[in-house]
Amino acid sequence: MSNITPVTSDVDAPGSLADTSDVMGSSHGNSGPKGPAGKLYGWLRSIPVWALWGIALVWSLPTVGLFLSGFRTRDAQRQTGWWDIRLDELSLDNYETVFGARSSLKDSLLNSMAVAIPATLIPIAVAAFAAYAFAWIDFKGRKTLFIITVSLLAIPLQVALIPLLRLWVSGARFTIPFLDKTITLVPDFNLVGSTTAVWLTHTGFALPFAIFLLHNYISSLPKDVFEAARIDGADHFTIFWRLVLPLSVPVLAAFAIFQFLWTWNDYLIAKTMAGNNPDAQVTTILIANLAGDFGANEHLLPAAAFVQAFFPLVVFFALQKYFVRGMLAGAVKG
Amino acid sequence: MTLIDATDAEADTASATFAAPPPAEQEPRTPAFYVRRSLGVIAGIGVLYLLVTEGKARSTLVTVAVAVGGSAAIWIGANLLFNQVRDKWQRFTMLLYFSVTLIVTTLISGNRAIGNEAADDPIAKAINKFVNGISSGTLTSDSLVPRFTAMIWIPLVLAVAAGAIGLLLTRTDALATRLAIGAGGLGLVGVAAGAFWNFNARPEVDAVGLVAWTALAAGIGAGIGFLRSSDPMRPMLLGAAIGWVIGAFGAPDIGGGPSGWTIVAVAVPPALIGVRAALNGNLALRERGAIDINSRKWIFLAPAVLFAGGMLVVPAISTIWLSLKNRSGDDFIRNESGDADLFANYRNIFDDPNSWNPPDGLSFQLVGLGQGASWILLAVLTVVAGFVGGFVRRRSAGDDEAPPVFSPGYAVTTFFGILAVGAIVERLLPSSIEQVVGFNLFALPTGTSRLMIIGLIVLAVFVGVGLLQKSRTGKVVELGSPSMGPLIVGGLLVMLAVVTTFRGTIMNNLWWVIVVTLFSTGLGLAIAVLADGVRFEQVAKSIIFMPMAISLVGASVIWRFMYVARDSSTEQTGVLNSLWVALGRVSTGREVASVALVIIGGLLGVALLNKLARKRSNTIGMVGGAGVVVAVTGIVAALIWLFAGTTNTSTTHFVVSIVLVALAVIAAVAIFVLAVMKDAIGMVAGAVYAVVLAAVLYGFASVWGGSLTGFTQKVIVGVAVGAILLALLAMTAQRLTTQNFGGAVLPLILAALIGWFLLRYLAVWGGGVGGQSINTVGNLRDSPINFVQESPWNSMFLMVVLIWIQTGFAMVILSAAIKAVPTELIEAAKVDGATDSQVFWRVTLPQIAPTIGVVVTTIIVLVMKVFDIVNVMTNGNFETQVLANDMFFQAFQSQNQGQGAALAILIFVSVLPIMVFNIRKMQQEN
Repeated sequence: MSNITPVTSDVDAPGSLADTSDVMGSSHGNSGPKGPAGKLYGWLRSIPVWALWGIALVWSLPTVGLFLSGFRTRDAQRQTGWWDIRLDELSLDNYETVFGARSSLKDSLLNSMAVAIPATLIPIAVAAFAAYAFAWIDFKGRKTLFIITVSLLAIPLQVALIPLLRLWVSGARFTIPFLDKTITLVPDFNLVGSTTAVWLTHTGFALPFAIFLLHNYISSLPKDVFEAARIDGADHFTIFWRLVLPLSVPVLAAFAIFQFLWTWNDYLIAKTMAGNNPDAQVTTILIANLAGDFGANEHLLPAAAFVQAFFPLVVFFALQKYFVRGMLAGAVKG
Repeated sequence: MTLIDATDAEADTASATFAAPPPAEQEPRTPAFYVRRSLGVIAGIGVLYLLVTEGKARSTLVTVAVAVGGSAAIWIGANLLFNQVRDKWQRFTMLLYFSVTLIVTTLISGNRAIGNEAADDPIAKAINKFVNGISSGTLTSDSLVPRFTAMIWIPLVLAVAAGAIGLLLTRTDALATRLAIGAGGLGLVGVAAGAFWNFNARPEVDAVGLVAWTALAAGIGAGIGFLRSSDPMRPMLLGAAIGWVIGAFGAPDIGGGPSGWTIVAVAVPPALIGVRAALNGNLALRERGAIDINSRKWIFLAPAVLFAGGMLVVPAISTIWLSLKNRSGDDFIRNESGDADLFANYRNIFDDPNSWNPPDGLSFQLVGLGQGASWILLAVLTVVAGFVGGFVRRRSAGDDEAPPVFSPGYAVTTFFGILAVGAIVERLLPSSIEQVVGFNLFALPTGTSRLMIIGLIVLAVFVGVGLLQKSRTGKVVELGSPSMGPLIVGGLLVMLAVVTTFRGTIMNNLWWVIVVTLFSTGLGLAIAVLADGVRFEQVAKSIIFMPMAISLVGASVIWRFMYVARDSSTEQTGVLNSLWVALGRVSTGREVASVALVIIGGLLGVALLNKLARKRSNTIGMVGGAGVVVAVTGIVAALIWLFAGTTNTSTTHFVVSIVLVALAVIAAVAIFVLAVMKDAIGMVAGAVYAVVLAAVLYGFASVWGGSLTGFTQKVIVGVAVGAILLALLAMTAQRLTTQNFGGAVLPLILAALIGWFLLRYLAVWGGGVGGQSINTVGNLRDSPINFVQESPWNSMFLMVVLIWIQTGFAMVILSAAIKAVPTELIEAAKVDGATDSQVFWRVTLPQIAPTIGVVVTTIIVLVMKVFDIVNVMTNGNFETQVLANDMFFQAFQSQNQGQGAALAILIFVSVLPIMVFNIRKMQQEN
């Protein structure tokens, strides 16, 4: 299971795509008969490689098709497949339209930002505090509380959705038993239909996983660093701020990337909490609505979908190592 | 792809923005540094441009800043507050009084007890105007800011007063003065709060109850203090304050009580707490140190506990509660005697035919027997076969072998065999005999499902092969053994038969879990093995992994364009339909591409026969030579057709056809004669080829009538494809005679597919392969598949999207595991003479089995909750509904929150065992 928490080691994590290649290279090409038969044998040996590239081609085909379709005019898209692409039908019209004044893509990109940034930063902070407390502050019941927190991973998102929606609509009330008085724990801010409701939900839902991941890393930091700092008179706050945070950058980055993509790509929470408010529409909702609106604007869909996938793809290509770590670590998330 | 191997330095720098500033360290001024720097500047300018031009961008920034900054301020503030406790006692006390009062009064204010609605409150209005001015009037929703300011300004004033009292308290140690300041000051704050008290929330206080509650709570407090053998006075005061609150506000009715009473009622608890604080005195340094340290765990844990508790634990419990109520979640369902019917929602799920819909005739009925008797007979036959098998085995057993009494293999073969034979008979016999042989296991309206029959046959094959294998290796099923393929394929086919017959939400979810898990893991493993050690391994893996970055919604859109079906009169723009229709055109001879098929077919036939010839005796060499003749014939004929076909004169067609048929007959006779002379394989091949030839002639004859176009190349293709079929069958036969059952599977499957193609192609059975159909007038036309709408297989096409995404995940994890297998193990196995495939099945696979377990469990959990793909692509229509989408539909679109909650709990319960297993495993490893 070490691959679920690859971030705990600073050596190249298992699961990183940057693994050293050719470990097994010696097993190729040096066996088998010589001569024409050897040629045939070599040809047979290379079939798996061709199969691999065939699969890679098939795998990239859908994305390539979407990318090319985005640049084709409405008529071209309707009349021929993207593989029939011709230079004279290329244009940026679709992109101009989706970014244009009458489109809400720009707004929805901002809404996605307004969701994804707080929903990334706040869980990281909260989880880092808690992970530090679970790892390095001694108190009674620490282990029990930690196990309870981690076991919250088992709760699927769907289970919390209905009450959370009610919470954002009408606040939370609690009727005190016997006294029969109802008090308001959370007032009805009427957050439904706002990006705030979306990122708050994400925050709650991200915590068990974030705490688990960060705790693994923070608890494995060398003990003597903390003892030395303690002797120098540093308190928990200083140790956390000056030592733990800088040392935990790899795991924080992995989690941040995972969480950012998770929230950026999320559909269910956004649809539940703010799906009906056009002003708070995130990109996934916009695209889903565009897809549901058969016919009329179908030619804009490739461009819009590509814009939506742009940030994740940039993260994927630019920070691939962290991306892979984050994705693998995040796989256990409920 | 140059960015794939992002170096540590780059990655670390980029990620540092997510955390505190790293230790000051001069970054090397490489070109990459300047690139990053200038990219940062460009991004910054872009953001500034947006902020200047777009009001929405400004308000987004304000929202984000308020959210992140506010949260950070609260937490850092709490830490800074307790940083003061050791050395700056005065400041700490002051801030503590301020903060506690602020929190308490804000809570009270939030309950509408103090403060007013924004509409009535001039001060709140003024603050709103100010705040809205800053954020240009678009900050979040309209109601949030006014309500917040209406609630917060009175608490702020009260908190400042309390802070001042805290400060005063620290300046003296004289008890009398402290009492006066504490009780008097906090009492006055209470009086002020009472004066702001909302008219509607004034308690109608009953003096007796108030005194009783206060005395009771004070007594409890004192008792606790006494038991903890500390000063009972302070807990008593605290208890009295709590008792007073309960007595004054909890017990009596809340409403329009007298205002004087209210002020007293509000003022007394703070005064009591003031007395307690005064008694405490100023703390010594050691005690302050203890506060400093003990406070931290609360500060560090409070946000997490608050969020996790408030957004996961409490909602989960209330969802369970909700699921026990009625369909809409308003109230409990009660019967006449008043007992609540708690599981109505769950019963609804399982009773609903939309969840799963077993067909009526799930029956097995042999001739002249009832259903029960038939099943009993089957069971008896199975057992008897087992004992007979045991008897047979005992007779043939050697001395060193323990004689088996019962042979499970014979029993299972009999079981599946009888089912398979019965299913075939049932399907083949006309419906009038149905009363005699009633047998519609997993029935379709037309009889037993074809998948079921094939699945049962394959399972019977599995048992047969397993038995043969057992006599050699002692195991029926083994990784990589010939029996594994039929087992998996047969099981999968039977599963597909079940899920396509028992339609419904639950069945669909099951289907998703099995198919996506199996194919993602299997493909991921295959790719990991294929890519291992290959040049540009990283590039290939990146391409496969890339879909993980794309949202499920985006992936659905991407695949929608793969699946799109246009009207048959226009060009297909979806990749899959385009291929499908093209295949149809080729197979009905409507495109020049069929010539390519001929040439490729001929070459493949040559290659395969050539390979066989080298491996085996001279006989096969001759067979190979004959194959070459046939293939070359095909190619030459194709070229003739290419030039002659355009003129389309019947004379050319006739000449070409005669030449073709003559050559084919010569080749076939040659093969047949040569084969009969010596070799069993040759015999099989020759016989089969004769059959194929008959098919060719049949096709030739049938198209001679002119009902289909392109008959000449039909013959050409028939000959070429027939050569491939022949070669494949010869290969199969050869492997079967050497008992290489595993090696026979692939050519057999290929031969079956090609044979099917040939039969359809030559119009022996049906007409053509692929997206072509004949309309009412008798003309051929394109007939695309509507992938997302044609039930039941549309579910499968939705699953492809998730498989496309999840394969990358499985591949990366399994690839890492494969690389982690110790090289010594593999080397040792190779030294012992293991082949590559043996190394894989016997060494690598057992080594990575735990990792496969991780991948499988992770994907199962993910698939159980699949929502986005179904929602976007079909929204559960066309019989593709799954649990999560149904839950969303019930809870948020039909307002059946009780039903939705029950579905959510059902998802929860189904993933729980796997999650518990996963979490326990993770815990063990850390």
